[in-house]
Amino acid sequence: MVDIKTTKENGIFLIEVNGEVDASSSIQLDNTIKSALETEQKIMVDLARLEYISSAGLGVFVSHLEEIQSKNISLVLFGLSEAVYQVFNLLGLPQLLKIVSTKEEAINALN
Amino acid sequence: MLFIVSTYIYYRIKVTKAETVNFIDLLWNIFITGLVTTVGALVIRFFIYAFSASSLGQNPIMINLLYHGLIGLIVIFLISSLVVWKRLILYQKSKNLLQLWNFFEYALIVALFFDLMGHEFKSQMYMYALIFVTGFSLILSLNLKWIAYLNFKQKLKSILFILLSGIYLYHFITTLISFKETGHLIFDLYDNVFVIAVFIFCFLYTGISVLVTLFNLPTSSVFEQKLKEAVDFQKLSQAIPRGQTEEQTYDILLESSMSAVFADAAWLEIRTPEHPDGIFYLRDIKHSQIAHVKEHISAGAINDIINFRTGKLIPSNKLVGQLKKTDFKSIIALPVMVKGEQLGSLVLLREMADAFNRDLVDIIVTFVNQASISIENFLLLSDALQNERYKEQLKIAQEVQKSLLPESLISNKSFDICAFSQAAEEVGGDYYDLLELEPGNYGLIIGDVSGKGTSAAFHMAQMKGIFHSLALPDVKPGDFIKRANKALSACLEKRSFITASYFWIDTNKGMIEFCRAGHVPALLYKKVANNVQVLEESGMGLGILRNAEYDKYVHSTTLPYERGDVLVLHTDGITEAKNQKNQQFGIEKLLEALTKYSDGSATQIKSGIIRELERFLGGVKLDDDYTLLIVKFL
Amino acid sequence: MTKQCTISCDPAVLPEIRKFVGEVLSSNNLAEVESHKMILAVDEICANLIIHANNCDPTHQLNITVEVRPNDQVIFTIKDQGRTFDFTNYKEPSIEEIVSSRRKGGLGLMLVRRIMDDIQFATEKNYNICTLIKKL
Repeated sequence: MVDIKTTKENGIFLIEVNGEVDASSSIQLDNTIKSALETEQKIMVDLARLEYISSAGLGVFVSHLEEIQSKNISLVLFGLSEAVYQVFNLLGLPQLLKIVSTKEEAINALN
Repeated sequence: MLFIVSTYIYYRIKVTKAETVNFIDLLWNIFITGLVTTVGALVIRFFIYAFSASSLGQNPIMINLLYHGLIGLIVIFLISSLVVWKRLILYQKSKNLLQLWNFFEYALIVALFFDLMGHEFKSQMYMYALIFVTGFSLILSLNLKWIAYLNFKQKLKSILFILLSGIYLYHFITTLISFKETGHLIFDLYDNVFVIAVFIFCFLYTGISVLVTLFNLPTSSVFEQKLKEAVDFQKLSQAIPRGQTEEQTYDILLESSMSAVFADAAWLEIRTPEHPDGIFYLRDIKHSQIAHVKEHISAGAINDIINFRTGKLIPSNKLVGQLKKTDFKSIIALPVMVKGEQLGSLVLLREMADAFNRDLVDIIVTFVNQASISIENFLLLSDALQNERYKEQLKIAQEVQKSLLPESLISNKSFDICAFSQAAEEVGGDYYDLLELEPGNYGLIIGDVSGKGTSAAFHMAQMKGIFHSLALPDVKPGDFIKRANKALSACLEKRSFITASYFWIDTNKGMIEFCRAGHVPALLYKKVANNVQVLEESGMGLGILRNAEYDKYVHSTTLPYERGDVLVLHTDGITEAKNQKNQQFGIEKLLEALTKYSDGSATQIKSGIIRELERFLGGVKLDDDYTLLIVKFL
Repeated sequence: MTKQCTISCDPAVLPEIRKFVGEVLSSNNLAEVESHKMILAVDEICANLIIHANNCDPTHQLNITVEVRPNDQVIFTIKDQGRTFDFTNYKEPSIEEIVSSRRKGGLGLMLVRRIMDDIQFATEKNYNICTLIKKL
């Protein structure tokens, strides 16, 4: 199951995704992202404690890409484990989404 | 004279008797004869010398006697030589040649009679005759084809023997001359055209054959090479028909190719579906060297061949290449094509640079083509054999299956039952059976036991055994299925499974109890409501879960039936049947058909449904198994 | 080594499937990152089957078999009796298409194809059988 926490720090909206995002739990992630896109311009997603993500979860990010681009929102993912990064890589998502290693880099990228 | 003729006849017979045209033996013959006669001549000479001073030695009669002895020996030698030369000249007979020789012989015989006329040496007629014969001898001497068939060693031996014969001849002549010088001769051999003619002939032939053999020595190696190639080619084309295996053909190919181009090393790599990484046949080369060569080959036709990327036909000049930085500097590479696909690559190497010429490549191409043909034939043959075997197996399986299905289903006063079963081309897989468990209580089973090839027949036999032993009045459908699963789990192959449905029909109480093990749900047409119930109780196929866990998923249902109701069991071949537009017949059409024909007897319902199915398919051939079981309750 | 499990078609059981597959793979000492991807592939197929082929009907079952052949390959077999997926008519969409159509679906099979060496869909005796093979 997935546990999602959100906070706002220094003008950046932080989404923390913990646990597993699969076909049954992706709906939660989708809702969180959707509402964040409505109001925020700078969003970073902490995936350090994300143990597993399947296509449903990836699809959440992918489905909102156009909206992100059109509204000029900055979205950065960070803290991906090796296994999770490889999954993102299978679909070539690092070319479409900004992915960095640490929280500091994410903050730098957004400022 | 008689002496000459008889000797001639004698030798002719002797040599023709020896059928073997072993040139060396013939020449050896001459040698021996010559030796013997020369020794004889030497004896005579010695005799003369020893007695030259004595009166015996001066006696004309003695001299003539010895002279005649000498003549005898010479004649023997000449005749034997003549016959042997005849044999050699006529080795490659042609009509013209034969005529020529016969003419020559007649001429000699004429000369024989001519001598009877006693012409002197150096008289005109004599000279004409002599010139005539000489000319003839010259012509005949040019027939030296037998020399080409000798190998190098034999040629050397021939030279030796022929030279020796020449020496004998010379010796005889000098002896004759020495005799002549004594002046006591009654009969001078010189006057004898016949003998002189033969002398000249032998001399000429000896001389010419020695020279020709000598000059043929340098080129004899090439000739031998060509001969060997032809023999190797024959070996290749005979390899498979003679029952050699593919591997032996490859070995022959590799050996022949190597010797044909004088390669220092060679390898043959064969890739088949069973061995995609390649089987290697090596000669004088190590795997590490092969890898080395593969690395250093520049792009081009040879690179493609070695890496099994051959496309279209490659011209021979592209098959030869040069290498740098490797032990081998010259390379020939050829693809071995079978049935249009590259089966292997043949690579020949030499340490010297630029060592392969076009001719050598062409020879290898012939070899490889022949090997390919042989292998293709071999594969075709084994395919055909396999096909035959497979067809036989299928036939047996089909017969077994037919015998396992019940011959007829017995209707009774409670219900009318009819079955339709048709198997696709290969072995079919639907099993059904009916048993009266106790008076009025029936067990009915339908199952899909399909599998690849002949396994369906085995599965069917297993199901039949299980049905007949476990279908008992006190084994409810649920238990039957559980036990069937246990029994099958032990003997089904790893990934096989069987779907089935088992029904209890209690005609006394008008109830059906059934358990569905993953099989296509049965249909129950209810007459009163005029609709069809799909008996969709959940359940897992037999053999899918092969432990006690399976029992958790076994459910059974009980429901009543009335007069006029129809129970339809079928296998998925019917609902999944596709027509030309790739549409499926589907459950809906089956329900429709059932409703439409529900009034008739079981047989009529069955025929009706089949008619609808065939109409839907519109002539498309069935590629699955159809089974339809109709139970009409009376 | 072959292990089996049967679950009912409920999206909530996906973690159970992942746990089952994970245990089988780790008991065979397979590398973590590789195992992770294989679990993902099985998850994707099962999710599709549960949601689309069986409409999340809990009375339907999925049967999953994992066969590990050491140093050779791993074979996953997933059997169900739901609606059949027509693989022959499947054309993989590109990422751009998915982005522009704002779809959430369609990515599953793309992932499976990139992870597994061989994917086969077959029907046999009223069952749909999906076979996934990963060479080691």
